[in-house]
Amino acid sequence: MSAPELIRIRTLRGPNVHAPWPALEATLRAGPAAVDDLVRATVQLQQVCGAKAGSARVIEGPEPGTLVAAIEIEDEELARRCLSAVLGAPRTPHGIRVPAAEQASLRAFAGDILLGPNTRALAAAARRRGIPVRRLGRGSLLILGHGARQRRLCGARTDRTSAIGEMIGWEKPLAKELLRAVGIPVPEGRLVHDAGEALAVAAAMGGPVVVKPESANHGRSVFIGLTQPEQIRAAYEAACREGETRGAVVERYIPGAEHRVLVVAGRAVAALRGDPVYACGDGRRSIRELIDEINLDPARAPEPDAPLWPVELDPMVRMTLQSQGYTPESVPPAGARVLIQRNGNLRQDVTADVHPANAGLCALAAEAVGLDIAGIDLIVEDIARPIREQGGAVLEVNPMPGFAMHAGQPVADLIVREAYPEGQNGRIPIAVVCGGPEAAAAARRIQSALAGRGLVAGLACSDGAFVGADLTVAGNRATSQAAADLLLHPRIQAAVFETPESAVLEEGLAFDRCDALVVTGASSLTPALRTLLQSVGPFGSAFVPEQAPWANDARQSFGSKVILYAPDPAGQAADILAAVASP
Amino acid sequence: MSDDSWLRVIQIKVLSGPNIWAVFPVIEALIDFGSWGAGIPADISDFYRVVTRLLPGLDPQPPDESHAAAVAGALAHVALRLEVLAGARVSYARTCETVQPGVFKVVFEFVEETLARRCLEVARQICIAAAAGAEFDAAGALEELRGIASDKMLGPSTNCIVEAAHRRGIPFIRLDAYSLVQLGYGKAQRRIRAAETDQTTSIAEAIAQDKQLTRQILAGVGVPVPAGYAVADREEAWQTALEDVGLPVVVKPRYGNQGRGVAANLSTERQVKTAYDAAISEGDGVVVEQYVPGLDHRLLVVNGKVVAASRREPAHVVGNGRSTVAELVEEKNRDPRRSGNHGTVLSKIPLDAVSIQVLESQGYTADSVPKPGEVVLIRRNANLSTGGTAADVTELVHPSVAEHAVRAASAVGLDVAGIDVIARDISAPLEQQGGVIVEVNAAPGLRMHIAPSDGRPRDVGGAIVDMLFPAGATGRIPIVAVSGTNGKTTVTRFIAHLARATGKYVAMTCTDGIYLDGRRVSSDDCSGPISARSVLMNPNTEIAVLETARGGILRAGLGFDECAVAVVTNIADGDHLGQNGVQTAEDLAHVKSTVVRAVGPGGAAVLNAADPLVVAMAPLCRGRVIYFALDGTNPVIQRHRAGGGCAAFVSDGNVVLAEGAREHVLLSLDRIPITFQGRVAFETENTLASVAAGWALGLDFGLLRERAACFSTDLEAVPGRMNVLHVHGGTVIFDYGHNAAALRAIIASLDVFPHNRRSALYSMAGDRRDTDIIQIGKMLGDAFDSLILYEPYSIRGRAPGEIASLLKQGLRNGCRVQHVAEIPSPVDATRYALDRLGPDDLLVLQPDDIDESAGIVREYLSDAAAQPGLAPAAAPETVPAAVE
Repeated sequence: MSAPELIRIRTLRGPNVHAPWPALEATLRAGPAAVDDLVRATVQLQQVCGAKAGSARVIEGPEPGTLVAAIEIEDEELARRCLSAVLGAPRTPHGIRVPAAEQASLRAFAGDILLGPNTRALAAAARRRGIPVRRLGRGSLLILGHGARQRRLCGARTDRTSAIGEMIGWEKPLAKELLRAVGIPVPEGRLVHDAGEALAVAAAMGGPVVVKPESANHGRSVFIGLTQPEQIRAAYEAACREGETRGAVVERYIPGAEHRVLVVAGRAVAALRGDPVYACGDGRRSIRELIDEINLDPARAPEPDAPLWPVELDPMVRMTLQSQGYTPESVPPAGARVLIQRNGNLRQDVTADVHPANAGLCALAAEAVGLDIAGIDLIVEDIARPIREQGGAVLEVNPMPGFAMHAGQPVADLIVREAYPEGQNGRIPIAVVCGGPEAAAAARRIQSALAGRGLVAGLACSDGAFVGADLTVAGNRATSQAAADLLLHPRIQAAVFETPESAVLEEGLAFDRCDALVVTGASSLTPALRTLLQSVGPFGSAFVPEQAPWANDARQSFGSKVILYAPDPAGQAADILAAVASP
Repeated sequence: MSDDSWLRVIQIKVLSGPNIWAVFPVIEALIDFGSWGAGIPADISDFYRVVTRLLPGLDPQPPDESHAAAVAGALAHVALRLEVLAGARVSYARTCETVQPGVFKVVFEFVEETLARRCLEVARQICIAAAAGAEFDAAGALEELRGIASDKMLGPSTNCIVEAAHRRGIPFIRLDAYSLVQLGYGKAQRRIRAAETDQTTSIAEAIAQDKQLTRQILAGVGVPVPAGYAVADREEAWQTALEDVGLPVVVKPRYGNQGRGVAANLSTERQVKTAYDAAISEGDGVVVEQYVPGLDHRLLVVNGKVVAASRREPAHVVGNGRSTVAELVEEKNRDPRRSGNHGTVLSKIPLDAVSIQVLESQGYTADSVPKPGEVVLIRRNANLSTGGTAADVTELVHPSVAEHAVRAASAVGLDVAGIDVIARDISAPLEQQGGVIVEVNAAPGLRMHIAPSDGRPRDVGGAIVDMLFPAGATGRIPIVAVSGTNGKTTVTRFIAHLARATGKYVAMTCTDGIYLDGRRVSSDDCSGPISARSVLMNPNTEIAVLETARGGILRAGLGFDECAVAVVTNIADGDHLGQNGVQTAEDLAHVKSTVVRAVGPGGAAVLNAADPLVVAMAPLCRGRVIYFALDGTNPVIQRHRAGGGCAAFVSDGNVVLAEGAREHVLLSLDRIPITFQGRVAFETENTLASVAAGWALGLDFGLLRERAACFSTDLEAVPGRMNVLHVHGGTVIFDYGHNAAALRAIIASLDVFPHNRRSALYSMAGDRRDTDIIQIGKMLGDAFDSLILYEPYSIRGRAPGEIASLLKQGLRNGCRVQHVAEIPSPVDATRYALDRLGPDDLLVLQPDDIDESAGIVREYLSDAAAQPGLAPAAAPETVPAAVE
């Protein structure tokens, strides 16, 4: 049995003749069993890498002895690399085995380029609402919607998120000053530059203090509730080592539990309460081993998007243990509860408990810093009662907060709803013309009819790309790539594409749904034509020439949305689009 | 080393807002000539000649003064001159003597504190050197000062926006030590950081950072861009150059700016691969683009318009047949316009790895000697930061090129963007000449447009300010500043109470704390500039009512540059005299007049017509004046009204607001609870000042009437401000007043409250002059039957018991006092006084810690079932229509 031979490979970036999903289309010379193994292995490998793509189809190829496999993809480059790894791997009776080292390197590559959890959640939320989503570049940039209705999202950033707001959020002392200016309680604190000064400031404040690096990150080296001079001295040294600058902040200790409240567009949408981490002694294992066990919790991972950070034996944990008379090597007696961490264990969802005054306070904190999406860190005994009554305080306003930790709340849906209130889906009306040499002229007629109805219409056809009357790109633009580019144009209110059957076959569609399809010429009801007819939305229409021999087939397959025409369909298509476009 | 003990700076005050000297920021330094006369130069004109030689450009001759004064004057002018030479725009300096012999105040305008302090120190060194006939390295000192200026002062981009805002009268607050600036106050504010605004989104910045993504987006909207691709390694770079893009190519970092790691016009494999290595060392990825020959242009797009354009030339040298490239570069770098930082017109030309590579690509090394007239490029890119130059070409830009630039900025989503255009001729359409847009820059540098090396500067800062503040927007919110000796906290609260009638977010700062929209968020003494600044940073604040106390004005100036309304309640015979160089009531009046001088041209000063020291402030006001006084026949008011001016006074038991001859009866004093039917005169004055300020704010009479009738001074609303309470059938007046005028006002109001025996619980702050404390004792002795003297928690430098013994000195001369008790603990003293209060007794209770004392009083009230002091003012069934 000879190894499968790859004859041709291409990417179909949108709905295509095989399936409604984007696909890698590989034409192979091989037996059905071999191709089957190959396809299955590629799909599996993509999934191992974390790609959300699990479908595949195989059909007869154009030449005898060839088969065409369409494999669903999330990322084109990842899919190609997976396929090529599978093609190079040995075939065993149990299928194709890609060597572990190669799998690992593919996983690493996927980790770099696949969407992060925030952005992935946003994309899914948008798709649930029928909003078109396109990823641009290799970062986290998502384009939702089309043309003039498009919005950009990028992780916990929207196209309203101010860069200056983000910068203020990182500049903690400035953020604190702005919070104080709007009357939000913040812990009294001072930047100190030596241990003696730290002690003096702590003494002047009286009571327990917190010592932390000037720019704290992920709660590391934050020393809480210190009262003893030697603790404060040691904490100062450790905080200075952690921070990038010389100096540490001494703050008044605010008793209570740490909370994270997520604010989206002026509303507190999710809240978590952080509780202390305890280890329970079994009389056998050391504290170090007990901590290892705590870290087995799948929620804990050393990744910025993981819900919880692993417990580390950092200086703060050691100090906490020491104050209870333990070292990491101590073996606590069975049943003993050992305090490991006072904070950093945000996991209890308290969204429903947040007192309205506290929700308002968090929204104000985000507003003062200038952020539309922010994670507010605050300390309060009971989030269900006003913070001010309890002497609680806001610690930080974090730009680009993670959503993953708020698993119980539909954060991504709320962000998408901010961009598109219910009833809006970010779509602009799209007309597609498919046919012979007269297609371009028909497309231009539809565009000028739309202009006559007051719409800025984009047009991509074999004469070039146009926005209104302006030629924006010269040359043949009757391609799906050109259509996709045009949909990014921020000014267009409607789009008209000339899409020949070849573009459908070679590239797939640039859109998942159109509102009007005009077929100006086709000899038969080809798969490409079927794909186009399939894309006509439930309230759209497909104009098919009444003399076409396949017209009745089309009517039978696609029902009443197929309209048989004799005279000019362009005007009617424009009417449909104008009707869809009206606000 | 010269002996410098004769000229010492013993104190520096940084007055960051309007102050007793000027309405702009100044440094006030106290100079001590130490052992009098020891080091002061004998021949002043000779001294001054030397100083002038050491620091050219000084004014020729100081005024003819005493030797010490002349040296102080020289110090001030040298410091000012140094600031100017370092790049600060300042022009004001003066000196004055103090009451201490040999001690002078040197005052000079400043822009940035660190620089100003250093300039003062260098000025001192220059004066010492001049007096000793020693040399001084002025050039070295200046270099250091310019370095400080470049580090600490706003950079050129930020500064040109701030200056444009200033020209439109929009105030600013620096929010950090770098470029983050708040333009405007409160709700009217916007934030900028260099050419980045608060509507510049981080997503758009991220797109602009990514040259691959930017090119893709621009192509999609029909902007001409070069062909280009992201490449993963040096091999792919060369393959892409050869096959996909075509030679020659540009290789640059995918993410990056300021032209670092960019190499252009590359045609060989070695060039491309070397350029790849240089580019990848700058960051994460590399792009290979088609090389488009042409001139390098930068178009600045602000709010959808091209507002400036520069043609930029990369750093280059021209051979002379003798010097090496390195020598030619060094010579060019000697140009004073080129400095090592971004603060000057041009930057130094670097001779680093990239430069060496550029030289090599032309067949040179740093040691080559180019032929005369031969142009040798040191850099391919034209960025100013790598030694390039820029000529203004704003007027030449073809409309279609401008349109592409605007489209590019909008596609990326930037409100302010620097668009890099390569074209042979910027005055022709790009399509005709194969021109392209190669980059879109967020937060573009503005230096090339405001100080082009050739051509006309463009007001790009103005364009950005006009975007943030469209015509008609002033960036200002109404600020009311309240100053005076007595009543200012009550007036501040009263005005805030009136202003809240508008439904707007009112921020109030006063001795009792900070109140935002009616909520108390701090209970510290907040009558200083820090609190004022804080509420002006609050983006919700729509009206700010700020108590402005003497201490803050002297210590740091005002927390705002201009106010809409200034209120001065009174100066009378003053308070805190003898402190901080404020010796007389006139001195104090000068301090408090700072708020009047800060009134903007469209604003108003509300001044007490019955206080000559306050009346004397009227000419200092740039806006109009509204006088107030109990008596409408007051000659100042009469004269002012005769000239068409405004006034508030009492007539027939009514509060009247008059505008020239026209009189509007606002409402009867019977309806204003705090005046006790007008019987408590000082509260009536406070009412007049407050409604006049409300009137100046533009509140209509209906609102003023409604709100004045519901302003209360009960214990809960304004503890310690003339709270009148009933305990055990007796009357308690709970008032914090701590000076002669306040005491006099209280005593004058006592007859309003029927009583038999009257007593007072009283003390004084330790930092008042002995004579003032003794005088208070005398007043108390004349007015009360019995006195309880306590010791304040803070005796401010006095010995225990000293304050009471001074008070007793005065009491001895009192004609009424029968009985004096000394109980040091304020708590015990308060209980003692309240325990002994009988029916029909009257007690004036002065708290030390208001909250603590109020707590004790509340205990007694709950026993005695609190009731208002007098029959409560009848609820206004119908508000009488004003006679208008």
